[in-house]
Amino acid sequence: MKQSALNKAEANAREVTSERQKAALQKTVTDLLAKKAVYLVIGYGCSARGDVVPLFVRRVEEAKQLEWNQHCTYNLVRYLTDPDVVGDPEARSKDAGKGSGTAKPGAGKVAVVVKGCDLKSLVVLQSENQVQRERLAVIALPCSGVTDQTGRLLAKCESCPPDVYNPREELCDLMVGEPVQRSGGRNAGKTDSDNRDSGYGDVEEIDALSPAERRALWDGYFARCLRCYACRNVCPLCYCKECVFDQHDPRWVSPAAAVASNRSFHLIRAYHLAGRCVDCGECERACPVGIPLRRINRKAAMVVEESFHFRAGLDPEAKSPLVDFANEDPQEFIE
Amino acid sequence: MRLVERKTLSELLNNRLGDSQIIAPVEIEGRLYFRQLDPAEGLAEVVWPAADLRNGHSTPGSGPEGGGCTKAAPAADPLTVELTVNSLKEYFFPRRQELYEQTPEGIIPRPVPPEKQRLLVFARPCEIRGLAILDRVFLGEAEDESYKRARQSTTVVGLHCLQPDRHCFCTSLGGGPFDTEGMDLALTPLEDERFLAQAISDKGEALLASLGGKEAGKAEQGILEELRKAAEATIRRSIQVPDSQTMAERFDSPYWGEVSRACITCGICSYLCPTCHCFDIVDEGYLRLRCWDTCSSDTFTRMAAGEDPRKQKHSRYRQRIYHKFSYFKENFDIYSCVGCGRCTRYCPVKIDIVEIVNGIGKAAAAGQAADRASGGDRG
Repeated sequence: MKQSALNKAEANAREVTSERQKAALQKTVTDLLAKKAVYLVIGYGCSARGDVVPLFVRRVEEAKQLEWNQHCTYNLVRYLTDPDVVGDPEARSKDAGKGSGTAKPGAGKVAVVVKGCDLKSLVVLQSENQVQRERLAVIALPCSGVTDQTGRLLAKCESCPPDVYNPREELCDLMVGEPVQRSGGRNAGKTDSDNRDSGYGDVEEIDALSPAERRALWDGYFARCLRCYACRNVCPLCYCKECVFDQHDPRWVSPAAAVASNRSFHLIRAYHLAGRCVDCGECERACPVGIPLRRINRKAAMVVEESFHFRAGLDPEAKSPLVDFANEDPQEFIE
Repeated sequence: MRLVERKTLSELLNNRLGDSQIIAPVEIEGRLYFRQLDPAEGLAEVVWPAADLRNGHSTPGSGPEGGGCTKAAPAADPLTVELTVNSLKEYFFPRRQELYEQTPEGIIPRPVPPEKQRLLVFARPCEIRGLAILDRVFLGEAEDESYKRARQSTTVVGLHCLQPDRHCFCTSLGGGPFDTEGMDLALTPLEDERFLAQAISDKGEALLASLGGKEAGKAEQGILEELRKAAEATIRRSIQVPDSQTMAERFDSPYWGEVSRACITCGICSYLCPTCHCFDIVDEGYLRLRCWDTCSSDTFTRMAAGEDPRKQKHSRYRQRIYHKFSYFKENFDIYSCVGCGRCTRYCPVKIDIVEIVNGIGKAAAAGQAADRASGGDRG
């Protein structure tokens, strides 16, 4: 009884905080648009039926539609590389060359609303030169954690360290609201870069299985996969213009859903995200058939951490070890 | 109409497991799916419908990411859904279907599956209406042999839908939670582990005869009627498709850019849809096969030389809407949508087909483009 009362008090406090942050966010965005500092703001809105949806704000009067609450789960960084949202960078630079199009959407700055965890994926995009940082206005909000409809904190939020839920100021342009206080959590008092030990439990659980058991477990999941590619398309780091799974000639992996091709799909995607994935959890959330995709990517992240002492999403200047080399890299395996 | 004990039905299904394929809803990690039962497992996995349906299957769509806008979300919305994640279409139009193999001896067609008799159990009216729509495609001018066989070998034990959820809108498309079209036998779960069973076809008549049970009386008729009214009253959504002229006028509207902007162009809506039927023909080595494809994908209309008439996502999203509510209607005189709500329920960014279709009429027609819609908006 006491427990639930406490939770209720915490939930109320969270709501008060998010209401205050929402008002501040709307004001910030109104100002940005009024002084034409940005032409587009990618944020959260509310559909007519009460669902949180991505919202694309262009006009001052639309800023009041911006939503901020504990259900703002989406990682909006995904839209920063979407040509149908921010325009095609190549077309944009062509336009610029012709000296036209400065007033056109696509020619100014874009603002994006992020949580600390989303911000980490933006850091990776920066390090891979996929965004022109100077043309972005990053609006960060300290986050009390996102919850499901029953008010339960999402798994990824339980292990979120303080320097992620309170975004690092040097990584963003505008901070909206005061830093939040969160009680408990697995990584209270730690920082994102030193919490390595904080929870690869889910991965170790699977590692403890025999290879045959692991194979059976994953094939069970992969058999369900519809190859809808929601995991890939919702991923902020799957920005390739042409994905290897979409290539027709040669066709590397059959698009027909079956265990073998689905397995190839998921494993190849995991390799492509190794040392890059920041565990925003969007793939797992989007999956209609409940494949625990975070575990695949977290396994890769764990290996990269152990082998290279590298964690993705901390430093926009740092290259992922798998796309970089150093002379002192161990080379014994070459012989 | 008869009163049938769950036990009797269960015995009948058990007896059929040996010589028939049974497809029924099962629960996997909190979500419901239609699955072909493994005879070795018996009926252990089957999720039986109950009179009280709030038994807690999660709705990923309205889970973490759904709902939540403090003011607008109606608190009474059920958090559970009894509809399976997958539609029934994969049992007639498989995700992956081998067609033929090229060998040095020539082309060897894959045999059309010699289907055993099949029993679809606890299929809801919207599912079955979906099959009726697919029939128009696969049993029309060009008959699809494997689809035809699958359909012919199937007996449908339908289920009246007692608890539609907040995404359902079947009643505005000519269906209804108590629709019996396409069923052989229609079941309504009652309390005390009993069902009201109604034979719809001769096949169903035969099934009902083997189930026995006592003839239902006036009282049961009354219950059925009440349940029907209650179920229909739960459906609060209604899709209003504009007339064909309005549809034609809005084709080039900037509206499509607006409403599709958040779309991540995945295939969830098409692959879970009971009526989407587009496919691709691909080769795996020397094997030629047919597999599901989706118009939301940017490779769907890409041609061999690389040109793609639907490069921007608004044109792909628009295609999905026009195929369902314009072209299909022209060709087959029916909308290719049953109102099951899966596309919205499972959309990762909650794109809402009802809101979008209902908004077409109010959208600016081509040429009336608002200032905001120029340039990058239209891609």
